[in-house]
Amino acid sequence: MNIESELKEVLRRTDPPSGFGDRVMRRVRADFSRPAKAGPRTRYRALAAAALIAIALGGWGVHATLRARSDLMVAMRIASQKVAQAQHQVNRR
Amino acid sequence: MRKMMIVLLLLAPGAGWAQSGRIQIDIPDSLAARASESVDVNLDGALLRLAAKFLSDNDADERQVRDIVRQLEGIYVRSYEFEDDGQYDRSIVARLRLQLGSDWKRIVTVQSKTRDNVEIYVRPRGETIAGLVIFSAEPRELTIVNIVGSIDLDKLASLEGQFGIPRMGKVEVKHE
Amino acid sequence: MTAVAACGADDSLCRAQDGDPDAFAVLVEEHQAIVYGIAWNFFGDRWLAEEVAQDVFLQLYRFLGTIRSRSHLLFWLRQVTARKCIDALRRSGPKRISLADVDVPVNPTVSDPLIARRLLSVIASLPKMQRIILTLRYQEDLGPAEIGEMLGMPENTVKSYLHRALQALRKEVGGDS
Repeated sequence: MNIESELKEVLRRTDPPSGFGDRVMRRVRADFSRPAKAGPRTRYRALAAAALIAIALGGWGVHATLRARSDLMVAMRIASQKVAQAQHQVNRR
Repeated sequence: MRKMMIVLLLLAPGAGWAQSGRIQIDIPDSLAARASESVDVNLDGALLRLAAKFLSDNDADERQVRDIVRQLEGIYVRSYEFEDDGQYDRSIVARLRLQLGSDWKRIVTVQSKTRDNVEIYVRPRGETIAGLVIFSAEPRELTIVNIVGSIDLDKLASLEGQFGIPRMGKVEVKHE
Repeated sequence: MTAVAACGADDSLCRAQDGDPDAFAVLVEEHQAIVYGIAWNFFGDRWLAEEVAQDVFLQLYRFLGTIRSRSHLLFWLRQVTARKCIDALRRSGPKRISLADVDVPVNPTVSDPLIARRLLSVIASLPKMQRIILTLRYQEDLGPAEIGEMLGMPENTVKSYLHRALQALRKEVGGDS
């Protein structure tokens, strides 16, 4: 067996689950109003938006909040995986 | 051989925290230090609500998580992965379990010599659940999950079929 | 005022940079297999792979104006995806879904599905730098120098990681040197 050939076979480019493009565009539409070209007007708008967000966050900060959102999804994924795993193993009895 | 037990267990009264649905997940620094990967999530109160607020209404998956989180007061997860078998002391689960008083009910126990040992406890409050604890001990992974608040187990389990992760089969949790 | 040349109808990058959301959707479709593939081969977890892949394209949307060319776009996507995979691993949960537990189709063109599954299982257990370098090397057919530039490390370090990864794989599944 030539391991490098096998690796080229198994480590292929993979399409995401169906609807991926739609999900990306939903997030794009939800998070942005227009593409951010790296120009001064866009930077000022981004700063103003960040300031408003920071005020709305009540002191947590943008980074902490985005981190919390990510943590939430991670936690729910782990919890759901464990519950579903247990259910599955119970039913396989 | 895999054996499965489903029991209701009445435990000795535990710490005050456990009466609120929350347990204190004290993991020795030495255990965490040996882990090759770790997850440490502590979300409650305002931060949990804020995190949920940042979930997108336009995304079905995030909407479902938001629906579940709506009635929660806290989510706490510790998860550690190790390079080799036997790198943590499994008695830590027994020590944590001591916090669960008589108002906690064990609804699932799965024991296996080669795969997960999983225990799921709930703290019933009337028709709902006020707290959930999951202990999962694998040869190379230790995971503790504590969810405080009203949680729907079936909705939580069904999340596993979302996000593009294949379902492992729709099943019922059996209660005795 | 500087006159800006109009984008060609087939130039989705230019049109996306001009603010055309449909053109950005085309960019996503054109490159999703690369981005998702890197994340999927790294994590073996569809949720994590999708989360990282979505984040990469969101970041692309944010920084679209900084992309200079198609080749730059490709480099950027690979680099950002690789870095997000490495960063996400610490916080993503340590357990990769075992291939024994789920019905993950192995590429139908592989010569031996059993070897393929074994390889994927071993790859999943490798340290993250070996894993990402293997993925960039064999999925994207990149050389050590390119990978080093992408990950910000010397070429010899990349070669060292690659050597160790291949050694580990040969030890587990056999195969010629």
